[in-house]
Amino acid sequence: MLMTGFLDTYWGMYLVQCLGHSMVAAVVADSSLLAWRITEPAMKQRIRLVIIIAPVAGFPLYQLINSERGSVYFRLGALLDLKRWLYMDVFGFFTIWGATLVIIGVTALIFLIQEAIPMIMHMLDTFRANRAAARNSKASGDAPALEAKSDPEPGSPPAVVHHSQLPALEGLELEGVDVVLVEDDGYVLFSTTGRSPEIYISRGIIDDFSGAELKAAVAHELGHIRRSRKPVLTAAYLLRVLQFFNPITLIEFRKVAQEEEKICDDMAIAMTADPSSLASAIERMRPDMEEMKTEDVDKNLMTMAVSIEAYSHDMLLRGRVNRLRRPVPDTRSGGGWPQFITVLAVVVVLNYFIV
Amino acid sequence: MNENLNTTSAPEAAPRQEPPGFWGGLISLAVMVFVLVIALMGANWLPGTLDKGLIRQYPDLESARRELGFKKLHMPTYFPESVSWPASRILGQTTPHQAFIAEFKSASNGTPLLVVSQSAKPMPPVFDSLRMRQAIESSTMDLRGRRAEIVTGRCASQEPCSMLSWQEGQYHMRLLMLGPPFTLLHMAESMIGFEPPKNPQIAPKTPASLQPAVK
Repeated sequence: MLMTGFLDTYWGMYLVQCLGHSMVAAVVADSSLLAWRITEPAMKQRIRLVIIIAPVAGFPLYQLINSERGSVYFRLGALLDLKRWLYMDVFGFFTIWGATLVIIGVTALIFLIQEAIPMIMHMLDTFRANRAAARNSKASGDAPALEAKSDPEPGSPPAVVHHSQLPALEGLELEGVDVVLVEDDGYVLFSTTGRSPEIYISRGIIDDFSGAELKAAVAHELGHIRRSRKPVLTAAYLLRVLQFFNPITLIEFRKVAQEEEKICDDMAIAMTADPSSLASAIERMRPDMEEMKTEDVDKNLMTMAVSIEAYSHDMLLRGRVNRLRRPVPDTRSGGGWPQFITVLAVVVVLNYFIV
Repeated sequence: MNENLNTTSAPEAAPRQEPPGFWGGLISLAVMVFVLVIALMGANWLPGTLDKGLIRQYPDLESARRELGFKKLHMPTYFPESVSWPASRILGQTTPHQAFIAEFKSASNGTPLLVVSQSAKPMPPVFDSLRMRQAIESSTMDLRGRRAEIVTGRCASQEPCSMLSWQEGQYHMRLLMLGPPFTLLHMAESMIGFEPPKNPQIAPKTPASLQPAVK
């Protein structure tokens, strides 16, 4: 049997219980969202964070309370002893533990390819770009451009514009936030956070979007910048990275990120009082799925993965648009701190008896 | 860029449903959690029915010996008067390896006093009630031709206890008892014959993760 001795070690128990505890937490969290009919994105996100926090914090906490939790006799009285499943043989071909290792391996690989490597590449690119920019400005002695060029060349480096040059953004509190124009006919819109937050907008968006759409889209990015001041999502992501092997955390963190988008949509509506313009701005940003289907590309694993990702992203955008276009925006909470504490308590108590 | 806007038409207005209050939702959640608990209990029970070799409790030594298929189940023939007979708890398994554990209580106050275990591999502590938490002294000795390890230390509530372990054929034997080691030695000698083993095997080193902390 593959590494069954590992299951008797603390790290083995921690790994196994991480998986089991996240499963139970996910069921309890989803049940609570149903039970209280919670629809407010902030509340949903808060409850889903329990699924990410509980597996990491649970095992050490329980071991502090009772260091004998790993003993055979405790397991006999437990609600669920996961080792009993892991030792099971499936028709003599493999054990459940072997299958679990495969799932863990695939999840870790997905994390590596989809998140870790792109993140490291992005950090390296940013570092190189900053070094190059510092070298260039030192060499030329020029001050950074403060105004967009009147006839910029396509592909020329982005330039910071003052938000007063974009009348559509009037009314948004953009002090301390740089708006950076990207010379691209396509639709590029994203923000960076930190001490010097920036919102990057492409020429294509400025030319094609209506004033109201542009304002709503920028307001959404402003929501991200404001939310980043309480880095809940960053902390959640760090806990998610610690569970790089856990498929449930992988799925739940994506749901947490989706709720974050809806929270920023709500913040944009609060700033602009115009949900329909935000909806039409998001509609414009959706990828052209018909174009992707008919493109003559070599069908290989990579392109299929990209297609699946694009389809999934499109579904998310459609969901946001539908939510914004509901006749009465559904921002009623259905929940607050009492519900959150109840969910947390149920998860903590149940998971203590899952070893 | 998107010439053909895949416009999404506004969904029809769903009938408004007021969310339930805290207590109403709590009742619904309680029902769902109850169902989850039943499902977890069922999930815990199922492996035991599919694989009879998983660890479980037995009512007596004979049923354990019969169902576990041990070639020989070594039990002391000498028990001090302080130990109550029969065993208060008997556990056994064949998955992932053969193991048998018996707990005996004190004849005077009914508290756990002695644990006898026989397993194909060294096992982690079984009973919460009797477990060496701190080893003070450890030494090896000859036990009728077998190399035995004797450890004295403290169990729960800082009570002095002793542990004796050795290899008997293919099995790892262990005795753990409250009190000094002398009684353990007599009991161990009663478990094995007077003849030394034909092919003496050195007991495998107990993995560090299964050893008590050494002071």
